[in-house]
Amino acid sequence: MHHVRSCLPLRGHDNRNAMANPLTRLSNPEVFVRVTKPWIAVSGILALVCIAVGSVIGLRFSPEDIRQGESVRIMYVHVPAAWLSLQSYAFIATASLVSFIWRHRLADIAAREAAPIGLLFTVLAIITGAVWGKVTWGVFWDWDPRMTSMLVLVFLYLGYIAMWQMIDNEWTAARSAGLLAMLGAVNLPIIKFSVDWWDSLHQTATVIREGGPKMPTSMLIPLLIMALGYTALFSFVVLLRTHTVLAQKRKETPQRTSRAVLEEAPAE
Amino acid sequence: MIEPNMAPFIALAWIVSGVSLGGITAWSFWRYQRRDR
Repeated sequence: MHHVRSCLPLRGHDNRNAMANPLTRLSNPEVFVRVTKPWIAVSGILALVCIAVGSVIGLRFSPEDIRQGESVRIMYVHVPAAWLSLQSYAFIATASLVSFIWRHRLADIAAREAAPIGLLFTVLAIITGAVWGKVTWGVFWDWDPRMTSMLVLVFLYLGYIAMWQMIDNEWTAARSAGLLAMLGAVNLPIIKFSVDWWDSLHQTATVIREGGPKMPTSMLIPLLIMALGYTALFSFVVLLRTHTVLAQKRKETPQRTSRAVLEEAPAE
Repeated sequence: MIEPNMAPFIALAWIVSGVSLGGITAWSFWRYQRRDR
């Protein structure tokens, strides 16, 4: 049977091109807003439920560690923050790459809107790590390879945000900040493998390692629930912020399609 | 049961995380609600 492919109403946009590649289709702000709007509520609810449930299990029902005692509970906020600090940066670097290759302006906006929460996750990983470090190692801070590479990540985020703030021309800002994000991505494997490459106060990989996690299930479950909650929170915040920016751009020039607004050459 | 001497440290880690993540979420949501105004 012959199916007639329906055409999406993409105003001011080449439909044939849009149908060819899902990423290209999604780069149309109107399609993006329509497709991702239900995910705002889904990710928000998921984040709330997972963080609440994970916290209750982590604080009340998970066992204490045989050597660290109760202080191991800090893991349930420290490790997800650290994971998300890397994931957020990987998101920014990937979106920047997408923008460099396909010139998807929406990718730049999503990357920019992900930076504040990415920075917050990094700072939280360092602060909660300092608290945990104080009770287990006796120090808030040490120039341990992982801590040092996480501090570099803070500066990468700050540099990325500063580039957007400093450069008035949005296109130039996107190119410069995107380039920094992509070059800075070299720090991600350094953070991940720092514990294997150098002597470190941190333990070597415990969860994401060959041969599977070496952690009791009673601890792994709340950790993964919290990590899922943090990931959902990241999606929630980035979607909220991206939708806000798109609505504002649309409001500024209501007579134009939102895609045309994004692609318009900026005034020098 | 959380040992009393550890409780302040664990509470601190949770409060700092909760307040800051809650704060950025509330700020983003507030701006989102006002996006069409």
